[in-house]
Amino acid sequence: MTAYILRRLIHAVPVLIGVTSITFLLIYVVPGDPARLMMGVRADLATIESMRQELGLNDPLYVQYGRFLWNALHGDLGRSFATNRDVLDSILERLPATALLAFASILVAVLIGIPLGVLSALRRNSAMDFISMLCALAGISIPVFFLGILFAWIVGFWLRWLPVTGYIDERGLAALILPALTLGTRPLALVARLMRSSMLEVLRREFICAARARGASEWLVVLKHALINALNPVLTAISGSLADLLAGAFFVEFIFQWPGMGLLAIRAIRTLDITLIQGTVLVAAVIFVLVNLLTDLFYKLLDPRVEL
Amino acid sequence: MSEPLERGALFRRIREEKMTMFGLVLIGVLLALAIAAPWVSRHPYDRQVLEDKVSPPSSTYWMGTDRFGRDVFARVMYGARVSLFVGFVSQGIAVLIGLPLGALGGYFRGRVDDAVVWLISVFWSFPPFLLIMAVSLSLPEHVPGIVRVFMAVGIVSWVSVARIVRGQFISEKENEYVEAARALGYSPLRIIFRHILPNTFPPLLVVVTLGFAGAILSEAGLSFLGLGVQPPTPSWGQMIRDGYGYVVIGTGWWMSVFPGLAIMLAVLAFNFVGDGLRDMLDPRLRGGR
Repeated sequence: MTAYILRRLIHAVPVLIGVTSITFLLIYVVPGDPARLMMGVRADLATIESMRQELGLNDPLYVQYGRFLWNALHGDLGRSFATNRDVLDSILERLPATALLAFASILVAVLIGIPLGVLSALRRNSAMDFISMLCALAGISIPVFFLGILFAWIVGFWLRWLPVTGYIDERGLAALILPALTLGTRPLALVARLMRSSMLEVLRREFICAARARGASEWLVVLKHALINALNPVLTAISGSLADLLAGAFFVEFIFQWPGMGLLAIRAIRTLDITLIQGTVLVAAVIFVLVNLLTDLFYKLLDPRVEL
Repeated sequence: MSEPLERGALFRRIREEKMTMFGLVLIGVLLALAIAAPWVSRHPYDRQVLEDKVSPPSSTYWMGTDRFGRDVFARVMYGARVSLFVGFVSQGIAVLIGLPLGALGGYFRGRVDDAVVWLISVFWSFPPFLLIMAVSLSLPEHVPGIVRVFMAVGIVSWVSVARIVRGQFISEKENEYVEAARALGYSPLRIIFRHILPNTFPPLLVVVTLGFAGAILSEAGLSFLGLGVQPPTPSWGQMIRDGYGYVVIGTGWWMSVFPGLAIMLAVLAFNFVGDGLRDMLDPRLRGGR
């Protein structure tokens, strides 16, 4: 296991080098002069030139890249052009809100999606199966920002059940419900669909027949024998939906004014705050790589036969 | 792949699958409406009738009007053009980049393959939408919004194409016909293009169809954030953006709901066809990512 972890970590190094290169290059080619953006339109040429010197923008590309990489390794992602705050600090400050939102959404997906999928599989071709699978299809096809607007309109404005904006510190946990439901719908739909097909497949196997033949109660057969065995592909799907969650968080945070990384990134894009955009993309990619690594490890712990 | 499909069998099975057929019909309708937009809609998409602004659906304006008094129905029709166009071009770009890379890696293996795999895993490490956004931002200022969108989506979605093509090449290479072609002294390029490539088309079709759905969602997302197609060209995402201030305070649900439904239907149609094709080609993959 240690050897495996080590091997995976070593494999992650060239990938992370590639990730940082792309992040650097993307921002390097962004239109507009960072020095001018920082100093504002009224600054004279001499001031801008001295700013360029200070930021090292006149150095050759590889020097700038080396510096960027070196600083990034030391956790220095530069300062925001707009607010002059440390980029990593601003991002880390927003991270808990996004993590909470993502966690709550996964919880929504698991707590509703798994039972829904299991019930659909058990009542195959019933009206309930048909309706829930139709809803699941709709859930996969609906753009998350459209769903957010619908929720805000129907639940927040019409029914006035839940707050539409704000964070948990002032509105309590109620503020989390709509954002989490919005972000959780797509993974929920995926989990329900996958759970259903995985369950149907397991229920056909011989050991289910054998358990029934031994006289095990239906509940025992379903919960102990079938569900446990059907769960594995669903777990992978949940880890796979992380990309969706990170992307969806952008829109959800924007619509519900949830103070997470996504809202920060959107503000950065609006103001063309290049270092902040760069930092958010890099941090998101690193989190993405790490979480994928962790899920692979977790998966291997659950099922040592898995070759990764 | 389970068993190779002979010509004609695929089409026969498509007709048997209701969902796939439904998806295909939906795509057909969408395409027809996009082409016929100027004749189907009763009002020009950009005509502002200020005295009729923010009016609910009626017999004059089937889907109501927006805050400038423009006909939402006409704009939804024209929006289909943008969505389908972005889908086509972005997936074209994805195939143009992904197919040769996947083929080279899968055929030659070794160093070439290492490089391809590295590139794939680097691109795979970014949450896709984030990368699409960053790429669209990094294009020069004079690039028009719609070009920005399909470039960004294409540059990011080649990865799925390359992955599937590489995988197909690796498994196809083991077949005897490849060995026979090699024994006959054919050049690697001929073997790649004439012999192996056609066998990668069915799974490629699945990836591209599902990618099409993803491209429509990405375009809508970018335009919703104001990073995509710029006004006055109507796009569904941008219409939702324009209307959403009215929707959440309950003064004009139609402005965002109709374009939102349009996105849903379009994505649903391509997902139906993509899933259906995948199930036909390999039933074991049913329900997978």
